Amino acid sequence: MMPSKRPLSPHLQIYKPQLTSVLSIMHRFSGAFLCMGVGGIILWLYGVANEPKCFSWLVAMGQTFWGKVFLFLMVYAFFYHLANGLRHLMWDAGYGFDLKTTYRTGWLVVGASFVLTLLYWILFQGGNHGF
Amino acid sequence: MASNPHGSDHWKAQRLTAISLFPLSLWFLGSLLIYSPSEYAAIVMWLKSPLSATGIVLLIGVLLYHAQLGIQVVIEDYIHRPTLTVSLVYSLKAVALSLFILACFCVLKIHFHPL
Repeated sequence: MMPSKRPLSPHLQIYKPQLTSVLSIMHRFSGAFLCMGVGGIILWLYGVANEPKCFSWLVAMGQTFWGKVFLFLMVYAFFYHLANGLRHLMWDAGYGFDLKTTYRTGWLVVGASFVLTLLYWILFQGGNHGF
Repeated sequence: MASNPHGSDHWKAQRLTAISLFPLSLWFLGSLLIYSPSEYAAIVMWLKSPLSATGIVLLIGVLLYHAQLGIQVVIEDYIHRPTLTVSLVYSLKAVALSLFILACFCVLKIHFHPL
């Protein structure tokens, strides 16, 4: 590849943030953040397999304020990625490309991810002792 | 830019893992509502059952595969030094595979837990 001095296009900084672009980059951010969740699940399994040290440390971490913030954000990232992933699969199937539908499904993703996160969080904290 | 010679396989795998993760991840989150993740004995009993052990191994396997495919795209998008890109992508695959093996051994150990 020849290095060229021509500017790369598109330059993200010159665009006004719009629902479509914000949701798009959030899909990538939430996906990257969820990778930490996968690591967390494996660490948790490791803790269950090797009882006291690791497991009790994880439970103690989960009960701190920042632990709860982390878990809440993880739940939000999950439902966001789930809802927006469904939107992506819909596009892959060839539906919903017109501007009006794109915005409608976009707001639907915003709403659904918030509602599902709150619902799950209430059930999670209320049902048992949470984490 | 044809940075990935197997682009369509990558695309297909990303979608298939995404679809599989719908039931798997919702089953997992639902189970955490029944068996609180901080209750040791309940979690061990839950994961000891062959069905939930199969579920968790499947979940982690597909999750790691999906995550690896996603991070690979991020690496290819933002890192423009071919040698570094290739090394990072292969390291990523090695990490994903190692984590999967670790998770399998953890599930096996829980399966034979004397509880």
